[in-house]
Amino acid sequence: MKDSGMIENARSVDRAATIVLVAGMSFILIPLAIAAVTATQPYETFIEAGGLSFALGGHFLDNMEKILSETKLLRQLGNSLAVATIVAVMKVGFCFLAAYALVFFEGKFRRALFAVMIATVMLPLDLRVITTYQIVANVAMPLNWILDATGANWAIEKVAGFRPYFRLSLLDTYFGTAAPIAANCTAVFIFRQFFLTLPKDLPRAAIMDGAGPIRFMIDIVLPLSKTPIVATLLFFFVGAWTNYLWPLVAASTPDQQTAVVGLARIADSDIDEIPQVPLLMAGALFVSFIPVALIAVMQRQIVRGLNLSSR
Amino acid sequence: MAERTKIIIENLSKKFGSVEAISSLSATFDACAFTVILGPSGCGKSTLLHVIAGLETASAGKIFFEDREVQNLPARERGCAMVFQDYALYPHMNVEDNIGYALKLAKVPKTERRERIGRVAEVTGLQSVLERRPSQLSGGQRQRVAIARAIVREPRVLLFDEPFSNLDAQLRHDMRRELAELHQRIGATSVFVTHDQIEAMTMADKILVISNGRIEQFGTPDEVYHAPESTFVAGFIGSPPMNLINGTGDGGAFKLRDGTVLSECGWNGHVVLGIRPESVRVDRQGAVALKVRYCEKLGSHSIISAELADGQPMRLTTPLGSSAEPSSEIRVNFPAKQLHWFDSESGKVIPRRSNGIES
Ligand SMILES: Nc1ncnc2c1ncn2[C@@H]1O[C@H](COP(=O)(O)OP(=O)(O)OP(=O)(O)O)[C@@H](O)[C@H]1O
Ligand SMILES: [Mg+2]
Repeated sequence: MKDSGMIENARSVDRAATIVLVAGMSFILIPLAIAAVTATQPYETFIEAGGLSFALGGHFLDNMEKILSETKLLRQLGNSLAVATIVAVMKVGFCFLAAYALVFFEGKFRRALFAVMIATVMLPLDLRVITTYQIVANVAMPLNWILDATGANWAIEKVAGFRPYFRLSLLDTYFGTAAPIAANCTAVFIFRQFFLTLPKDLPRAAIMDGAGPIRFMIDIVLPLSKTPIVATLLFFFVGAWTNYLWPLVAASTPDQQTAVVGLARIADSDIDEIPQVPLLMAGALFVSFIPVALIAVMQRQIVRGLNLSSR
Repeated sequence: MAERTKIIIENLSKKFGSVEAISSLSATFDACAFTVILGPSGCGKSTLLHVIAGLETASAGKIFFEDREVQNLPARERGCAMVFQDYALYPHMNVEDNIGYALKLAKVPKTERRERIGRVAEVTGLQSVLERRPSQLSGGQRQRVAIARAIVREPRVLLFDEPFSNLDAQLRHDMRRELAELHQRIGATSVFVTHDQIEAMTMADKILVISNGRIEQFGTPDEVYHAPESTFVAGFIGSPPMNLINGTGDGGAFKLRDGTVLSECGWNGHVVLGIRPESVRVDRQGAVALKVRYCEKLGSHSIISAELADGQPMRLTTPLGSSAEPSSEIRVNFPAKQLHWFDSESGKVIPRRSNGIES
C-alpha cells in the first residue's frame, strides 16, 4: 500500500514536471518557430497576411540569397567572429591569470583586490558606455589628462612653445570593439572556485619538484583547468556575439559592424515602408547559426566546466 | 646513495600572525637516521616540516643541513623531497610522468630519466602501472608513486607528512615495513611526521614528541616509552596510555585525596604517579582496591577500566583469559620499580635518583 502510494506520488511529480517543461519549452520555442517559418515566406505573403503567420513559404533560399547579395551580413559575420574570439580569449586569459594570482599567492592586498573585482561586476558596460566611448575614441586621453594635471604640459609649452596632445582612436577596429567587452572579471570567480578545489598540497609538491610559479601554472594548473577554460571560452564567445549596444557605438561603418548590429539595420527601413520581416528572420537564422552550432556541439563541456570541480 | 646530511635546528620559531605554531625549537636529526615527529593534531608538525623543506619561511632561528645554513634558501636549492598526506600527485600525468617531473625540470636527458624512473619503479613495485593515471590506482599504489616521486631525485633529505593516514590498517602495516626497508636501502636522512604512535614506535630511530610547538621529549622509542619526561609524553604514548594519578606524598606514602595509600613515595606534597596499564599486577592480596567499570576483551589481552577509591579512573591490561565483571572489586599491586613520578605543577618527570625509595 505504502509503496504503491509512493510510486503514485512519483508519477504525479513526473507528470507535473513534464507539464512545466513543456510549458517552458513552448514559451521559448514558439517564437523561434515563428522566426524559422517567416524566414521561408516571400515578402508578399507577409504583407498579405498582415503580419506573422504560420504559412510555410518556399522562399527560404531566395531570402538567404538576398541576405548574401543585398546585405553585408556575411562580412559582418566575419567581424563578429573576430570580435567574439578576441573577447573570449582576452576574458578567459586575464581572468585565469587573476584567479591564479588570487589563489596561489599570498599578499596583503589579496582581499582588497578581490573586493574591487566584485565591485566592477556591478558596473556593466551599458552603464558606462559614454565614458568608454570617450576613451576608445582616444586611448591617449588618460595620458593627456595626467600631463595636464601634473603641469607637465604647461612646462613643455613654456620650453618648446607648443602644447602636446596625443591622439589614438580605436573606434572601428576589432580590438576597440572587443576590449571594453572583455574588461570584465566574472570568470575570476569561476576559476577561483575551481582552483580552490585543487588539493592544497599540489602547489607544494610542484615546488618540491623544482617548479616555479610559471612552470606550475603551465604544466599543472593549465592542463587541469581544461574543462572550465573551454566552457568559459564558449560562454563568453556567445555572450560577445550577441552583444548589441557597445558594438553599435564602437563601429560606425557597416563594414566594421558586427552581425547583430547589421541585422538590426535590416529592420531600419523607411518609416512608410513595412519592414522586410521575412528577410530579417532569414538574417537572424543566418547570424545565430554559428553560436547555436557551437553550443549544440559543446554542451557537454559547458555543463561539465561550470560544475566547478577538479574531478 | 645520498650524501650524509645531518639536520640541525636552532631556536626555530614560526608565527602565523599572532599564532605561534613553533616556538624556539632546537634539535639535531642525525645523518641517515629515521626521525619521527610525533604529536597531536595542530601541534605544528606539518609547519615544522614545511619550514625544513623551505615551503614556509622561518620567523626566527636557523636550520643547517650539515654545515650549510639553509633557512633562507628557496626550496629547490635545499635538496629535500617530500611525500604528502593526500599524495598530491599530478592528476593529468601518468605514473611515469609523475615520477619523472622533477627530473624533467632539472633537464636530465631523456634516456637517463627513463633509466632512473625504471629503477625507482622497480624498488617501489610500480613497473606494471607506469602508464596509468593516478585515478586508476589504489590508495597504496598512489602512495608508492608519491614515494617514488620523492626518491627519484636521490634527495639528501626525505620528508614525510603523515603519508599513511589515508590507508587502511593492513596496508599501513605493509607500507611501514616497505618504507623501513627502503630507508635502509637509500639511506637519506628521513623525517617522518605522524600522530600515530605505532608508526612512530615501529619505524623511528628517534622520536621527537611535540605539543603546542614545543619539544616534550626527543629520544629513542625505548626512552620515550619507558622513561617519559613529562605527563604529556606519558599520556600520549602507549595504547592505552600510562595512568596518571593525582595524589600527595605524605610521610613516605603516596595518598589519594580520601587518604587511601597506593604506594610508597619519596617526597612530600602534590605529585603525579604514573604507571603503565600493563605494569599493574592483579593480585588477590594486592594492596590497592579498584572498582571495575567495564572490561574490553581484545583476544590477546583484556583492558579493564576501573576506578580508584577517590573516583580517579585508571586502566590496566590483563593477560589472555582473565577478565572482571563490571561493578566487582579487584585488588592490585603497583610494583615500585614500574612507577614514574611527575611534578604536579610542571608535569615534568622527577628524576629517579632523587627518589629515596628507589635507591
Ligand atoms: N597558513 C597558516 N595560517 C595560519 N595558521 C596556520 C597556518 N598553517 C598552520 N597554522 C596553524 O599552526 C598550527 C600548527 O599547524 P600544523 O598544520 O603544523 O599542525 P599539525 O601538527 O600538522 O596538525 P595535523 O596533525 O592536524 O596535520 C595550527 O594551530 C594551525 O592552525
Ligand atoms: Mg599536518
